[in-house]
Amino acid sequence: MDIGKMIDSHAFVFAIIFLTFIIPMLSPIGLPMTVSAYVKKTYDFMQTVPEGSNVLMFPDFQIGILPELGPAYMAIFRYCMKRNMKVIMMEYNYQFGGSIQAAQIIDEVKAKGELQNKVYGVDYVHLGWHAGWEAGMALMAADFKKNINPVDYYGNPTQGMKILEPIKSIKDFPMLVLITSMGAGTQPEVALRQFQVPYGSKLIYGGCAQFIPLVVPYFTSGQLAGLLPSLSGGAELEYLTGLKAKGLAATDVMTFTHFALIGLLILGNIRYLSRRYVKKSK
Amino acid sequence: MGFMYAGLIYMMWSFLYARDNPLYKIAQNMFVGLFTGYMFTVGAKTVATNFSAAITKSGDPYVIAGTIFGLLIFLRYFSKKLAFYSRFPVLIIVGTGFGVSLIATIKAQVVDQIVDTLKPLYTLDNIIIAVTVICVTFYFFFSVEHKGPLQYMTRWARYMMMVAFGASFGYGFMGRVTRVISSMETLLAFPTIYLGLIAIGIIAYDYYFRKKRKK
Repeated sequence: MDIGKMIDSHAFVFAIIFLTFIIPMLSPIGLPMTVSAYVKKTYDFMQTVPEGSNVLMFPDFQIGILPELGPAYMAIFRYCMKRNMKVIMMEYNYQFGGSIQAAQIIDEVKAKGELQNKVYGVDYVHLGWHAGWEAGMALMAADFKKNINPVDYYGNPTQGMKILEPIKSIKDFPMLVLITSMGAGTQPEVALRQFQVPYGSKLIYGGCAQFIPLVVPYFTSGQLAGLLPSLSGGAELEYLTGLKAKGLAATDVMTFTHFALIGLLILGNIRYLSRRYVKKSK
Repeated sequence: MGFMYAGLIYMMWSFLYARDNPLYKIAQNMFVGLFTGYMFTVGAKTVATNFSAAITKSGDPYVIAGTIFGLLIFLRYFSKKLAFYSRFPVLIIVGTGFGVSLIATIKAQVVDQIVDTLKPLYTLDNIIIAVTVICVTFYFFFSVEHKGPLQYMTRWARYMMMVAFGASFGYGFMGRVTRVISSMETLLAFPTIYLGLIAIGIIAYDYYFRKKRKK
């Protein structure tokens, strides 16, 4: 059996990655976890928001991104419910999909029994998808009640909802949460332009992993109050808030697969250098 | 439901073994069709509810006029003569979008970032940031040839950009892994795990007979 050819084949890489998924999923090991500075600062900021405050959450992630961003969204929602905050959810994602997934998350939290003492329309509300993207967000920020849909996601009229009564503009939200699959250059910058710059809003951003390096400068400059990178951010937040769920369960798999990636990269480079050495010696 | 979900995952993943095959095409077209249908329904429902609320309750002239004006976009599908008028709503969308975004772009994306870069050079981190920003900016300055001492600046810039791309790649890999984790949770659960055994059986059967045919 030619080991070199075996290492070069796609099947070898697939097999290694497949094993690194299967083994920790079938037999969780509980590897130690560290909390990154981004998530620690995010949590510290969340702790400063007074109990009972209004929180605006944007489930702006498209269909299929729920496994990656769902844990962060759920962790924040559960944390807000635990601290008796009033949560308003609304989506502006032109790629759609966030509202249906936010409703799924609400159902999951309900199934855990954490919404037993909460009343829909008083403690939390899901307003659904809103048209207009940036222009719509700008209008909503200036005059909230005038620029939301007349009915919420479930078809209930928004006029007269108790949770929406005290809200006049974006200034009435001490914390905004933007969980989005839209990349750097789109939604994060839109939120900064329409909320943070004109109104000084404090914004927590949770996004797909590949966009995090491009958004970190906004966090280090203080424009973003919080940063939750992908599933690991959600898992770390679950750990800090003590509200364990799917995010934490996936950390073993992530650690294993990342070690596998490093191993395969090293192996690939050894293979490449050995082939060069063999060619030179010939 | 679980079987359908798992079945569709296997149909999409069949691309890894058999390239562009009928099962993959079915799943892909189903996804595109369902997603398009969902987008259309949500969009149309939102417009209809807002429009009917404006007409029956609030009487907001901007919503009413905006909706009617926005419907002009569809003229391009009905009449070649009137298709020209479908450009006006697009003009408004582009113009307002541009105007709304431009107001705070300079502050949010340029000024605040420059201010954050100009940190006191007391720590190694700040020194590296300052030096790298200057070197990377110079890397894209082509009016002067990058020779002599300047080539060290561009070399440092190149190494730092490679570090950044590597970090981006690592984060990207993490993102893709997380999406597979959720799928694997469904596939390894009982009873959908039986579908996995069937899939492995099909692959083994195909692999065995393919080898036999080659011989």
